[in-house]
Amino acid sequence: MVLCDSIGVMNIFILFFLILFPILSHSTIPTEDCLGCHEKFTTFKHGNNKCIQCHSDITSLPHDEKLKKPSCNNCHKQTSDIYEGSIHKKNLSCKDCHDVHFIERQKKYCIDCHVGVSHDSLPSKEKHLQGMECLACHGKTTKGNMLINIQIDQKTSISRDILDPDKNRFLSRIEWDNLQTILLNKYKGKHQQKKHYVVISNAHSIMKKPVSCNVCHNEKGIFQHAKITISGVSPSVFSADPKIFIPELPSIEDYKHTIHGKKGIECFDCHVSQERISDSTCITCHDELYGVYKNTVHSKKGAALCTDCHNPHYTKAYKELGVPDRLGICVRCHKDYIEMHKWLPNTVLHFNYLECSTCHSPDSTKSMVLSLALRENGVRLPIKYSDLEKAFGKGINVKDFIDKDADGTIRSEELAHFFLELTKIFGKDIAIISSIVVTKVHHNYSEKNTKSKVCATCHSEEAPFYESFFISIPEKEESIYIPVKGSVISAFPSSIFIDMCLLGEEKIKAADFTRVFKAGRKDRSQIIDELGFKLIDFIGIILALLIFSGIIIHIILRVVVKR
Amino acid sequence: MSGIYLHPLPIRIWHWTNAFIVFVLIITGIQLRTPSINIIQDYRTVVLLHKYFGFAMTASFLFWFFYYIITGGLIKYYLLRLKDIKGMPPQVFYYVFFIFNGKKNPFSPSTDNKFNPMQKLAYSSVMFVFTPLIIITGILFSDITYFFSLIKTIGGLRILDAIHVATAYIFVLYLVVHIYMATLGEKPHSHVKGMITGYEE
Repeated sequence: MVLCDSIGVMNIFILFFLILFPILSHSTIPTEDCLGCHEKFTTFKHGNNKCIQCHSDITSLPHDEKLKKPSCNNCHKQTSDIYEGSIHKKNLSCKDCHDVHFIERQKKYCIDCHVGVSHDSLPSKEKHLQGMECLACHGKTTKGNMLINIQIDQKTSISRDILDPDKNRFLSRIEWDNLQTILLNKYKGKHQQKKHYVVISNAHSIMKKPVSCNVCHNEKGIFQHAKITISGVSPSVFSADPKIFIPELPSIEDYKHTIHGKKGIECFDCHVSQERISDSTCITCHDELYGVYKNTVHSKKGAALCTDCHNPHYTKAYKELGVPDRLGICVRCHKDYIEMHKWLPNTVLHFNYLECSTCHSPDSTKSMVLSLALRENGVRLPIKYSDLEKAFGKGINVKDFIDKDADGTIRSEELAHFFLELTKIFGKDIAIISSIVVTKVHHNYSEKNTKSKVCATCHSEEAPFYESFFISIPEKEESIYIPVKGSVISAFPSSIFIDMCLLGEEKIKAADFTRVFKAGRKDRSQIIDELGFKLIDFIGIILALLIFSGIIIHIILRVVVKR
Repeated sequence: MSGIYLHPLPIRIWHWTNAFIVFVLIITGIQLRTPSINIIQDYRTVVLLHKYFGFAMTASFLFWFFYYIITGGLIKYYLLRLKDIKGMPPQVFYYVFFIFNGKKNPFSPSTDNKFNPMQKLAYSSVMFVFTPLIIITGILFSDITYFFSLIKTIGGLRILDAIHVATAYIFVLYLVVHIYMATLGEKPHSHVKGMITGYEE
């Protein structure tokens, strides 16, 4: 017991000594005493530190002439660890960049040492060097944001209604393209557009080699947000998807997942020299398609090579591209497409659902493709396989889940049942998106100024895409298309298709009247149910006929009684 | 001029202007609903005509509404009272039966009471329910992108379309009856003449 007690007292004493020793020893030499000799450091500032906190080997004054070098490590351990892996570690100490006595003054910038670096091997050199800091490529970059500043004449402004018709304060690719067209047409030479790429990086992590292009230029690039600020009379701020501004580049890893990669085509099969790939390379396999394309305006006028429209390194197959991606291909050259389609009512809305080839490649096969999305903060994000797993169970085969009778196609009833199941689970968060997409491409895009600006081409039951109806769903490995049999949108409950804007398929026909009146009592109610919104016309026309008959009888009676 | 001065000039101008607007809206509306009926060649023109005549109808409705608010005829002429409800069966019987055996119309208009009970019922439901309904749904249609969140609240574009079209049918049916009943005056053209000169016989 006595021994234990004496150890306990000893411990407390040692602890007390350890705490007090530095305070006592340091506090013995006030900073003012140091400054008595070292006048040039009168205004020194390194946090709230005093001289002896770094020069800790000074215990009394006057101190030894030769002192130990202060170690930054004592306080800046984390930074020091990062700096261990930096290329600068070999040649530069902390002091070479930081003025340790006046720490807020940055001593050196990259350019102080790296004067006149040519960056000749950097593609789009000016764009990269103007928009980014050295750290973006030479540091270990984790994430970043984009700032886009558009300055227009201070006396004018672009209406927010024009810029952001859906008022979600988020510019989609179409809305951004529309803005570019407006700037080009109305503010040519009177506006400035600057893109700045802000990356979160660490100046102590400068690497031997710059980061790979793929850090930014791939599908999962580091840029998470883009903020667009437009000046003018009423300045506006919008968000946007950074992918709009950063083109994707091929990576060998990603290439394995492309359609070419999966079919075993190696890099050297196409890249036989340093020369840019020409159409002749593509013809090796795609000669049949090229047979059509070579006689079209695009090819004859030398406007577009195969690779101008088709990125052979793109991870998604063409059929997996949504409308915005497909539009993006044509829009790279045809930037004024919104202006050119002003004749089309609800222009921007139409381009949310239609790709260019719907009209400009008449021989292509158009299909109605339904896809699923989840709404998050007003933005619709494509539904993922993991979302469906959460809803319907792990490892679910979505196709088998929808196609109850396993006949390979989905009937309206099967699809309606699936949609209702989804709405039960996700509520209002689920969005069913329908797009008119080209499922079989015919490469003749020469059709221009199509005289048939007739809405009924699409807004009717006879629209060609009802013959080719699909649903695109995510499966474990990849998204698949499943054909939907004999269906029109009006066959589904309207609450499901709240996002659906295509009207015009519910036109009443003489045959509908014949069907209702010829049917037996039992079948009649079912046929009337199937009429859907056509019921309005059905009742309206019957009432009109009754009223006309009443009027005719009234007129006859008036004539008879000479009234 | 003989008879009672029932229809002041602004209302007569409004009536015939509105008639023209409704006529254009019905013609273009039929073509929009059933594009196979090709009344006007260029479909784009049809869309624009329907849109801008829709706006004209909004202006016309607002003129009618504020004219009667200012002059004080809205309640006097259009509000259905108990007396009117009691007067409905005789009025219906007159149109269906008694008109043929030469009996007098049970209602005779005066400057304080322009419309018979059935007219009141028809005009007030058209002007207070169906016209505002078709105007509001039409305005929502005029810029789908701008009003998208509101359209979604209603239940989507297809529901909006259903409301607009159903109201349009009611308008057309009403108009057919309205035009026919305009011939049931003293002489077949009496009411039409009254709506031009302002004097009803």
